[in-house]
Amino acid sequence: MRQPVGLFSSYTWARWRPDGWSLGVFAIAAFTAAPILAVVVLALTSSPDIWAHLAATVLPHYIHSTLVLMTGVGVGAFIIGTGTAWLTSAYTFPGKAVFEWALLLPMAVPAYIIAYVYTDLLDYAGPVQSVLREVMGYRNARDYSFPEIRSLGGATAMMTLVLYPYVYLLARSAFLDQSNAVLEAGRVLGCGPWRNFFTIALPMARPAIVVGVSLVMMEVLNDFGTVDFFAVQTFTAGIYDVWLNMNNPAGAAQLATAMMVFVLLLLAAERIGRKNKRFDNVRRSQPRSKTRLTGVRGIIVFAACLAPVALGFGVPVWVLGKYALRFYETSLNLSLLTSALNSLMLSGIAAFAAVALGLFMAYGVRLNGGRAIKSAARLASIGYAVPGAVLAVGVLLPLARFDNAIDAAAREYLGFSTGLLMSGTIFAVLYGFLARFMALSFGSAESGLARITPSMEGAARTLGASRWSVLRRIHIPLLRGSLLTAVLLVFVDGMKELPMTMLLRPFNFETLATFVHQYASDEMLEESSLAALGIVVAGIAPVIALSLSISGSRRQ
Amino acid sequence: MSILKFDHVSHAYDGNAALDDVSFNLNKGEMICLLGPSGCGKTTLLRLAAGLEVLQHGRIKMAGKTIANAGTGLCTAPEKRHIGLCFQDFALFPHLSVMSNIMFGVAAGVAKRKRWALDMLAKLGLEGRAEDYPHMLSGGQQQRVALLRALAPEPGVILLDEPFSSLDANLRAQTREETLSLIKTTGSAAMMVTHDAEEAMFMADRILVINKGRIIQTGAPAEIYSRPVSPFAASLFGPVNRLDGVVRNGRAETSLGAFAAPGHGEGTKVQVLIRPEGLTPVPEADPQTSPCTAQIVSAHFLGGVSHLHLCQKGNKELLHIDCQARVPGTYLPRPGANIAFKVDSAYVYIFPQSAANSAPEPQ
Amino acid sequence: MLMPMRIRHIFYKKADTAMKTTLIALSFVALQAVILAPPALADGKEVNLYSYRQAFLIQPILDRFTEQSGIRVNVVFAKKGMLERIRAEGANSPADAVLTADIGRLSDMVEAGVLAPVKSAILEQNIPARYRHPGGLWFGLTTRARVLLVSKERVKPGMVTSYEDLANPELKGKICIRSGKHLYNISLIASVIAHKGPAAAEKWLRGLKANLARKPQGNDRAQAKAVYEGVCDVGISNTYYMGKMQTNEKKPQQKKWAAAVNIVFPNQADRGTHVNISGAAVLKGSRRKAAAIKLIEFLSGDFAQKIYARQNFEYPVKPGVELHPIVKSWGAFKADTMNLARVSSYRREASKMVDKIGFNY
Repeated sequence: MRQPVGLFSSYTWARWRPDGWSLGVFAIAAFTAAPILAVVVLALTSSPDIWAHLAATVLPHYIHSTLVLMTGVGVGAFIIGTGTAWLTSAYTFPGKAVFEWALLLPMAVPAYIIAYVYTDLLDYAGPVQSVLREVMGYRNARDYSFPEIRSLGGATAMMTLVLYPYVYLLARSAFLDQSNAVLEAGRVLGCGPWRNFFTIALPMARPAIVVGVSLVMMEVLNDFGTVDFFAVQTFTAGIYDVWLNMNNPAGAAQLATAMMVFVLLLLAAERIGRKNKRFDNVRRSQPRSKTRLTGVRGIIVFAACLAPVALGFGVPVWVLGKYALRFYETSLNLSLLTSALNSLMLSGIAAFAAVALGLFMAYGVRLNGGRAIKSAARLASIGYAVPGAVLAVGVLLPLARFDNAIDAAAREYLGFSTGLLMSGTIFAVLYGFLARFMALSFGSAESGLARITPSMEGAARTLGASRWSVLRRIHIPLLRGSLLTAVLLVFVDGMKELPMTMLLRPFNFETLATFVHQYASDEMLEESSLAALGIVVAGIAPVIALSLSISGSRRQ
Repeated sequence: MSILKFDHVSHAYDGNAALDDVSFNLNKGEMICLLGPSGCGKTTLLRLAAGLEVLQHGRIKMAGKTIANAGTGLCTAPEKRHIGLCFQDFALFPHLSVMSNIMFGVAAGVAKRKRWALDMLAKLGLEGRAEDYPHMLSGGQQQRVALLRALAPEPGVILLDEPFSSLDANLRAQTREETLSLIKTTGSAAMMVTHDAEEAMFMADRILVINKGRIIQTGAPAEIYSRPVSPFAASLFGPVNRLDGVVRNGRAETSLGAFAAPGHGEGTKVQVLIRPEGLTPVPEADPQTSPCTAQIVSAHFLGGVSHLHLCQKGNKELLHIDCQARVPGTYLPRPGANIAFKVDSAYVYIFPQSAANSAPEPQ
Repeated sequence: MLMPMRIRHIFYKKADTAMKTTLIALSFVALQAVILAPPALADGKEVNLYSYRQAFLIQPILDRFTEQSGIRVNVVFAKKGMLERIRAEGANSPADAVLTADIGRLSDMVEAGVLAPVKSAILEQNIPARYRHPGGLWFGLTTRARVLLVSKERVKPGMVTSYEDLANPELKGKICIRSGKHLYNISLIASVIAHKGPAAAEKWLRGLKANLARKPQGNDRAQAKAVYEGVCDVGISNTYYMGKMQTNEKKPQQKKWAAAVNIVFPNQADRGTHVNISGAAVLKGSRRKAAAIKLIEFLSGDFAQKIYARQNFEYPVKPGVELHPIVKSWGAFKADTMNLARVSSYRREASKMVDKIGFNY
């Protein structure tokens, strides 16, 4: 059936009167998009022209390496994420119950940390090359060639290892949602398991996989730590160069805006690409019957699932753990514990706030799918693609302007100064988190809602439930899986978040990530290892708890 | 007495007309069926009534009160209309138990309605299933729960969207009987959408035949069955034999005989529709009934009736007088045999040739 | 694989309760953190510092300052965007002073007009004129030299003695350096432009580029490591990294890297070695200027200079302050005397030059 115009009449009286939901969506969108708009406004201020210089010199290179990195990581994360998601949802094999959640673990490892760890392992003085020299009898680096980890390829590998779980998480929930009947129909029609996967399961999971891959690509775009460390000259590296070395923040904002436009175009292209296809009419039926894999095939599948977990999680934890154990007396102190508490608090609040606002927006878009409201929601979720420090400046500007306006008003009319109410407080940091992570929560809520048949809503409405009540009584319970996924994503990302916390935080406020950074930025891996391990460990508990709960909610 | 009134309602999706100037009344305690092929706009009609769709043109009144008016932009929210809607796919809430599903819309007198629900569940063979979840029920059971859920808040009108389409034939017959009696006992007016004429005739006090967004005929089931306004309306009620004829002496002459054709001009070409039920085998010896003869192509025994596929002997263009007959009893001739039959004129409908090709005439 | 209905229900109930409890607990923590956050508007008893240097490097000195003066120091450390934060917060900014790790950031702030001129006899006495802004807008606290680390085995003494030598074709494939865009290198290139003019500087940078053994990468330590590994013969680094490597007990292999190289202070025969400073400044919007000046004065005093410089193996700006024995072992050197504000004014040009010749590729 065609999607009707104004599916759920969102107003009781006059058609032209804007209703609370739309206003609410616009308000939230304006709130989260303000930092992005601030960046755009900054880009419009007059500044020395950098484009001519960049275009003549490094811009082609920036674009080339950024595209290569994006494509490489996108493809890598797609293959690992979708492949393991399919294996764990369609088959049973030894260790499958553990892999279901273990495959998510690398997500808790920040990309710059895994970059440090592997450099430590794979460079000349590291154990791998040392053993190689020992065995082969080489004397120094000139005697043999070893792939350089500090390269575009190295950066691609590192990012793929920690980013594939985004695709895994979303692809898996899509696979679990697929009707067994459809896949069985494929088998009966003569598709082997491979063809069934490629011609039925994969296309049906496309929206979820696209969300996952685009999250990965946006992560790649905003990463600075890894590419800086590996000396890969990406567009983001260029933004920081123009900003800091050429002291041209407006020029940097122009580059950042160009990048946002690129991301928006990419997303729009994908949307147009699947415009005439609908994916949401999949009805859940019997729980998936899973093929049991044993023997050689079992071992191959086991190894295929083990490899990403071992490389993306096992190795970094082992290296960090080794250092942490050796140096814990110097690094374990009260300030580390406070930092850990701060991290948990920030990420926790941000996760719930982002999911609440994201759900509100997604539901508002579903209620009233006008073009304006959709565009507002899309704009509000583009912050994920903006380099963190640039977005942080975007948060600073409107917030400080707001605070100063309040202060001026108070001075004028009340005769006292309020100072800065929100700038430099935890609220400012949370604001930054929301501006950045809305893509995660809005995307999850939107794709979750798309899987709920509209007649469910119609049934509830005709039974006398208001729109709020439908959300509370129908959607939230049905969306449990999607919403928990979003909480998980935002929480884990929040634990790792660095540049916004750095710039927006109050005095004397450390999180685990800033704690790690102040040492790690000087390549003092040893001192930072305990805190880095803290980030990873703090990520494990919610990853396990939520993935159990998510697969639990699937069983309904 | 009108409880739901559509007043010149039109509706379009992206410029494609779905409803075109539809007006009708649903009276208190009445059950009407909207009958038409898929895509004719009948589901849109239900959605407009329920408020799931914003009215574009016209007015809808409920119990004398306007609930939607395209002119003023008024559109009462679905939850405030007090209209029950039973979905084609049932739309049971998967996370709620059977009882929670049924009680979802009940705001007042919860304890009383709960007793009612338990009572009804027991009556409908769902005793002890109140705490089960929808996925644990069979299709027929889910349908009953969906119906109870729609009825539980005691709505003024209940709308049913192809409620039996996902059930198998046996279950369908049983379930629609239950549904009908359940709705009749509650006394609420009901409007059902279906493309199954037998179902419509079974359930409805009145049938509204819809084609291409327009109501082309309204009437009691027997009336519509026996006096269809167009070939389209006639064909909705099952297969028909179509014959070409020419009017001579006030009778339409066809290869199966001549039939009274009042109102058709002398010499005009007409289309003659004959229901298979109208062909009755007769002993060949009886010349008084002036029987036709034909050869049996195939014969199928269907229980109460037999379905015969005939073709007229001696004709070169076999296909053109290919026709079907439905014969009560256990009569089952061998293929190749010749039979004689007469045509019951009550099952013969005559339309001008032009009506057969163009769109049906509006009422 | 259906869970029995009842059990499933209990499971969800539990998950729900757990989630709620967590949420409530987190809100309390948040509330606490907000309440415990230092009030930004207290009077002379505290001073707020925006720092480009890591907190752990300066904490011991700040603690000592608080001990002596009774003034508490609150710190925010960030490497990017501090200037934007100061500007956005405007007159209401709680910050009183900034601490930077190089001259570039100080120059940016001068340009942005966010610094307050300071007149202090103590500062003028402690800090030589070339390490402070003529108008008292900023004050250098430590200096570090950008030196050459040459292989003990493969480079004969006297073979490389100046930055200009790095462009000598004899060194083809023998030099390692970190990214040309790093602010230490930008500063070095800017100083070459300041001394020799853009054309000569570009020719030199192209020569240097042609001599690189590998694409610019890693940090300064990584260059010493590369020499140790035999990847190249000459690395370019700030002095203090040598000290850090020589004393690294946590990663003893770094001692080997340091042991593989000699420090060469370039251009001793002419203009002297390029140095950069870490410094401090008072902000225009500060409402606790007296306390802020007191802090900077403390940082330029004997005690802080000794600790501050020693802790990071830097050179104190105050003449006569004792050096770290390791720093002392590298020997005395002649530093470039050109005013750093002038060097810094060529940073943008240096950055564009790096792009222009494709130094990093």
